[in-house]
Amino acid sequence: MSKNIFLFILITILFSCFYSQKLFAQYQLKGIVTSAKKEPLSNASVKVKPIHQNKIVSYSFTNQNGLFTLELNKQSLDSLEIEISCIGYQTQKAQLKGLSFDNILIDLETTIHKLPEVRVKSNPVIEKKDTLSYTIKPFTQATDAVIGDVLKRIPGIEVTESGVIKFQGRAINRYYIEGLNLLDDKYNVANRNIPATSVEKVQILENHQPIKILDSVSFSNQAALNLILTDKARGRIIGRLKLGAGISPLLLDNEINPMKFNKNTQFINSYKYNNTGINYSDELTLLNSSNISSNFVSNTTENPLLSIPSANIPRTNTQRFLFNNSHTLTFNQLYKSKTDVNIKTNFDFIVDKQNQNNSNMNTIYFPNDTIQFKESQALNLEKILSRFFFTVEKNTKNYFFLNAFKIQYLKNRNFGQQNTTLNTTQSFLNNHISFLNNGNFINKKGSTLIVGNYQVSYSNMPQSLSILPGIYDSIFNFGNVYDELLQKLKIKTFYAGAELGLSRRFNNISFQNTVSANFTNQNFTSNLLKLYSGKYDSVSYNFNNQIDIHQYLITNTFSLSYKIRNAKVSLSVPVAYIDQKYQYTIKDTSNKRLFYNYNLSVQIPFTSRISTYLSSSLSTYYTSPYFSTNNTILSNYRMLQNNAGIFNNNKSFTNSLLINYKDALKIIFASIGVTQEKFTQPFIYNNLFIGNLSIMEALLFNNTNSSWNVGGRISKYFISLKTSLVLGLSYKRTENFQMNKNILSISNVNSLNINSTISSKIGSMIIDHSLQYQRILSGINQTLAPSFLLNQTISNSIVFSEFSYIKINVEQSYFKRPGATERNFFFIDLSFKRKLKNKKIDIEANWLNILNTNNFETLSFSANNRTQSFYVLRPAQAMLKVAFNF
Amino acid sequence: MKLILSIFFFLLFLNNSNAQMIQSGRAIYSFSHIKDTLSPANRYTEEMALFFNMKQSSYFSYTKFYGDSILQTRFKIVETGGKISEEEFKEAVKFKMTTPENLYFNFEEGKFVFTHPWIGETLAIENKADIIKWQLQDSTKTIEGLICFKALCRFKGRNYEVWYCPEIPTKAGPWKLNGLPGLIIQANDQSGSISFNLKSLNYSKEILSLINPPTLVRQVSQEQFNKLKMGLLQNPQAYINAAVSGSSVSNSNDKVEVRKTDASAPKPKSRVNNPIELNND
Repeated sequence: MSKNIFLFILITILFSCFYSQKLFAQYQLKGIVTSAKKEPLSNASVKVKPIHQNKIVSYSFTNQNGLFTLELNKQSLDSLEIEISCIGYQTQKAQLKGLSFDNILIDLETTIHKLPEVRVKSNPVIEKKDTLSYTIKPFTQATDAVIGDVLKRIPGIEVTESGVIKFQGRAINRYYIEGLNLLDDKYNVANRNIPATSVEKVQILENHQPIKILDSVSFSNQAALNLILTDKARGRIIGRLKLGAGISPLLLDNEINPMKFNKNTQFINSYKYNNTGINYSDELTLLNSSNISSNFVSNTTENPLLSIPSANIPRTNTQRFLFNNSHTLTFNQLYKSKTDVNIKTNFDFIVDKQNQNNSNMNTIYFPNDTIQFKESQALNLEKILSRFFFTVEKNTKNYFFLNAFKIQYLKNRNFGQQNTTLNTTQSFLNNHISFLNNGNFINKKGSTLIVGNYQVSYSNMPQSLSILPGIYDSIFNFGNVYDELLQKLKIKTFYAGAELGLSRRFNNISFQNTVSANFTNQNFTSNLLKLYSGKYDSVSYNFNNQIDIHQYLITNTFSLSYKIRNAKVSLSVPVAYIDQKYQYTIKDTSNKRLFYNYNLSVQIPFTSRISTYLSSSLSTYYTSPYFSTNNTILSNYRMLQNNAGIFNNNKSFTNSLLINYKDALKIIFASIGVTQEKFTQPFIYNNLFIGNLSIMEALLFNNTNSSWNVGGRISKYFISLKTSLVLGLSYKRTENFQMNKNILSISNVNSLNINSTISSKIGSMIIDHSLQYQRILSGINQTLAPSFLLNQTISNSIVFSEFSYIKINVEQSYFKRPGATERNFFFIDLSFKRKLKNKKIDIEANWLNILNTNNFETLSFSANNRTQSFYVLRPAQAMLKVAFNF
Repeated sequence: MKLILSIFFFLLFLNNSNAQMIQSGRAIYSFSHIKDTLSPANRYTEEMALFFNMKQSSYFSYTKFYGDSILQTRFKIVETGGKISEEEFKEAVKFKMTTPENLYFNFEEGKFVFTHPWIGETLAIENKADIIKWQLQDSTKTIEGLICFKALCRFKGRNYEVWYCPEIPTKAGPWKLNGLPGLIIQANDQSGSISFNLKSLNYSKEILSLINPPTLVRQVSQEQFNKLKMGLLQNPQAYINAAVSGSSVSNSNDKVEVRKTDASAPKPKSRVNNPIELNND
């Protein structure tokens, strides 16, 4: 009985085991899926589902050979089917019952049946490919005050010392604020005054064509900048008020900058005053010519022909050497009407007074002579500049129109004591008034673009230079001592010009042809007078000029640019005809000439890492007509110049090649380039020295100055060291002609420059070190002597918290010239910045020139001149400034 | 003459067979992501494109891609003398942040390539594709006229619930979610931070150039790429100065994203404390 039960249980267990294997069987389905042509289909989906139902029990995909393997652990396989699908083929189903699981063969027929589609309901946001946008926050340091401080750190953006903003090496062609162009070329006013906290984003519009209608026709390789303000900054008056005071002597640095940006109106107004050596008036410099045509030449800008010589501006912080007292005022308004017309008014007013106390040691080399003299001067310079622009502009997709009216008044009054072998008191006066009205219009006819420009301008520039007592009496007064030498001159210019151009684009080529015609009428008079026995007399008719000039210039420029993949080729060929008629007091001369220029540039990216840029250009141009004076002018107390009526056409021939390399993985960027330039003038000055009076007489001569420049730059970032290193090396050779006492000679200046910049982050300190080393060989007729110059700056910023930091700056300037002792100068500056927690108040304290270095020297080279300049510096300054942002 | 005719027909035949070969699909998703859990109302949204065929798929920002085609159309309109309104022009200048990385999946080889533009070059990192363990569910739902089935999975630290449509028999799906026997139409992460919704779907014959990973790239490994990103974050100014100083003429349109998070810098307004991949499980 028990045996039976045992056997029964055993059989049951065995049977159940056997049966359960069937119950919980792991089935493996294997097979191959091919097309009707017996090609294996990969990635076809293989699904197992209950028959006539959609629920998927198990699934797999075919491999590259069309094979699939499926695991199943259900018992009623009879109710299951296998379904194979592949895009482009008809889905096939087969019941599992009756299939041999190891070898399921499925052939799929191709199908043309459409897969289901879903239509889009709403439009996606449109984004222009060429727009890069940066949110300001990650680049801002809490101690940044204005947007210009932040822009410097944005990748690709470089802000030069004068304030020009460049993107990837090219100057921007527009600075927009909320899409509107309030300031045109005067964008420093915005860059240096809009608070950093008011800006939300900065957009870089690459390949920007500011004239909308030209967008489809011409390629631009310049970018534009657009500031997008925060919501809080829009629609209300924002700005900064800064008050600063300090000592040695009483120093003041104050400014107020209210501005407002609405959808249809904008204004930026600013008033600044300082006597600490900061040159705020350079904010009002017209930085960038974004004009369509560059053919307009007229002297409506500063242009002194007479001067009191003084030392060059040294390359260091202006606060070290500039003794000033200046007011700068600017009002800029923009109003946009409903019909898309922009009306802008800009008004600038500058009163700038400066003191200079410096001297020069001039060495001029000639084959048989070396002229050397020292001159020192104490000068008071005063400049008043006032400017008003009124512009009306309409810029739509179909046409563009602009008319600008500009008026400018510039007054200079410079007084000085000049001491050389003579001691004189000199004064220079200039009263320059100019009017200009220019306009542009662009229209489309079919697929051709018509571009037109016009300009009418008038300028009157009287200048005078007075020297007391009278100098060089043997030359000017038959050997009799006299009281004053006075050089007066006046230039009156009337200019009218117009230009018309056509442009068209076919696929990747764009053509443009422009014809321009302009007329200049210039009247130049100059007199050299002496004050003798109580009255003014002309020194001699040889020192008086009276010229009346009529000049016509017609130019036809044909240009084309071709774009293929990423490469760009542009060529432009201007052909010009000039007709000049000069009426001198004694004779008349004229000059008629046909000449051409060309400009070629090629940009080719070879791989994703290497790209090259080639350019070649020939440029012949005529300088201002008044240049061709035929009698002598006293340009400054030691220079008499006579241009002998030579028509001054300069020719410049430049070739350059630039190769760039970038490796984003190893973070190495390099560029190497070579430039060759030949500059030719049709005359040379024959120098005759009497003491240190130089009499320069122009002689006809093919005066070619040539230069070669080879340079390279490499930069790398070391991740583990958190350090970046930039190394630059360049070598330049220049060759110039000069003539002394009818003897011609050649001078060379060869300079080797090595520079490096290291920036490293150590803990919460950022240390920057920069170094420039120059070895200059200069001399005449191949006898060259070396001079060495070295400038170093180390600055260390320690960040205490996100709201404050302290910075210490150490600067060294060294040079050694042949035959003299070396000169070495050191400066130390300290500055502290703190932003108060409510983020509306900035405090800045600085102490400049801690070592109280009170004199400074620099060395400069040009052709056959070497000049060593000596400066009296400002004493140490300590200032405290508080700025309120509103 | 007979030879020419036969060559002509042969080429025609070849052409035809080519035309049948690859049929590819284009799906546009609306992607939304709460990047900062402290400001959940701030959802980051973007239109993403998924181009797929049986063997491969590519996934990248459609917002960026669409801009190009609009520009082409606009150029054609102006060429033929038409007008574009002020609004349309202004809209183009509106800022839209986009995802710079592109994903290229190769289903046959079971791997994917992720490309990232980086200071003038495009870096490509190859990885083995993760095989997602999907749990198929019974529920069905009709979305935009497509019958979809539900599936669940746990991927990179998040639980996803997706709806896929077997009528479109491709493995592809948005981002790294793929491997289902049908196109993924909708995907949501259970915490509500991430969602993908299909907006449009159509087909074309020659999108192969968009599906294949680009060739002019620099291959790097994941470790090398992580090192690069760390380097940028540690001292962004110096890194970027090194990049900019060495090159003076450049014509690349690449973008570098910088987010500073060390203590010495102010905390940026937009933080990502809720990345898509929470961990590697």
